[in-house]
Amino acid sequence: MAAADSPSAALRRRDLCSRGIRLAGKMRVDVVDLLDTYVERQGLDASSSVAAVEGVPAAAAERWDEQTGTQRLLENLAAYRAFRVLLAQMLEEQQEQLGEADAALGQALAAVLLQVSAFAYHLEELLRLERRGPFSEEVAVPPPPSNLGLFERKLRGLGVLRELAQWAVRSSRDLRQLAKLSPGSSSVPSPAESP
Amino acid sequence: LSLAAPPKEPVLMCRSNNYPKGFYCSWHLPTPTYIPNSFNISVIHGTREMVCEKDVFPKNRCHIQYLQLFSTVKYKVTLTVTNALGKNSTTLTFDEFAIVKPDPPESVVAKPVPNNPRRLEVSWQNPSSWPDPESFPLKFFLRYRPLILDQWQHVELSDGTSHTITDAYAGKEYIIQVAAKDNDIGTWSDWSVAVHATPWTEEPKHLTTEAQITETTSVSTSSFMPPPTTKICDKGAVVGSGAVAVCWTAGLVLAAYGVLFI
Repeated sequence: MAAADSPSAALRRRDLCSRGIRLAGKMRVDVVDLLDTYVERQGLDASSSVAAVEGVPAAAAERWDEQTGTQRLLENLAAYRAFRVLLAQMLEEQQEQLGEADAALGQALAAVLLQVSAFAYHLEELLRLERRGPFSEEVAVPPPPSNLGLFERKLRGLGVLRELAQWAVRSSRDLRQLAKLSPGSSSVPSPAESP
Repeated sequence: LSLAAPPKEPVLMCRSNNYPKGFYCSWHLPTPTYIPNSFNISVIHGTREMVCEKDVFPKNRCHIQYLQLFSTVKYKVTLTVTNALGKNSTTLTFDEFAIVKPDPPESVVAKPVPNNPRRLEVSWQNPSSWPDPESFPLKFFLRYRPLILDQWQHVELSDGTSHTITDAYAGKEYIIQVAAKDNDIGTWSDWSVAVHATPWTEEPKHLTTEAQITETTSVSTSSFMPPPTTKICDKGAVVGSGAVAVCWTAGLVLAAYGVLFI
């Protein structure tokens, strides 16, 4: 088995980072399109402020440039696993709410869910390469509160998608930072930029 | 004599040209007050109040370092201007991503490509204010047109800092500019300084004299065949298949005239 710092592992890691960056870029474009569709179909105002939603991983990071490669991968993996659950919940609610009335929104949600799942798998591959296993258990995302009205559920969905769009941008940056690291140095912070 | 006036609502602008380090805000009054004014700026991100460090120059600007990245929480910037006769204020609310606008690309250079009459090679550099192009790569938009036309051609380039224009009009001077944008977020920069370039053209050959024609050619074709020093249809001057056909036709006509006068 190749060591994490072997030349073949370094090539594999670079390849995985490059592909991951492309996946994240495509995902972001699709999430932004989905956001537009969601806002329109749900009759929402695109500029609505949405409070932080319980269970939605926030993309915001302090001292982002000081994170290690492993931290980046673990945070990303936890986030996308959570989004996998959240999007599945949204899809189920959307189907219950609208049934076949809005197949386009359902299809768009399903397509993004697929990309999120694929990206989570991709991150697992990268972590396996860094020999950072076993991974933590799947995140437990609480179900949406049952007393939420329809409008609140729609706003919650808006919050989920907005945060996912931020993550898609953050993930491509995280993977670029990871790609800059020399093999075997994922536990070392990324080279910090001078202020 | 100008009358002193209370301040009108100031004009405020915020922008990040050095993402992900921070952003700056700058302001001005739409009309002068003719008396001293003081400016106070507050920046709030969620529940956190941030410090906007005033620049020494220009005085109507301050900059702030990001404490968080990738946040969905909006920034709220309020500028208050006060003088002896009153005060006024304005507020801007924006997302972290929305204000990202790089400076234009630098060191734009356009050069002809030897032996290629329709090509121009353009290169440029990332703006020096953009701190980490490796992790936050820029994409570019190039526009070019011949000076004699008003319509621009556009090319968007997702990587690299050079491009070869391959459809320039031969012999025409071009004006070229480049703009930059973060690959994922924000808006396009202003256009770079314009550069001018003309595609390569072959050096014009001198016309031969009558004496040279008489001396160097035979009786049968001498007067009307092109002398060796003159090339009517040089390969380098050929632009496309249409031009090749023209060259061949010219050659045939000349040969025909030569035959007529044998």
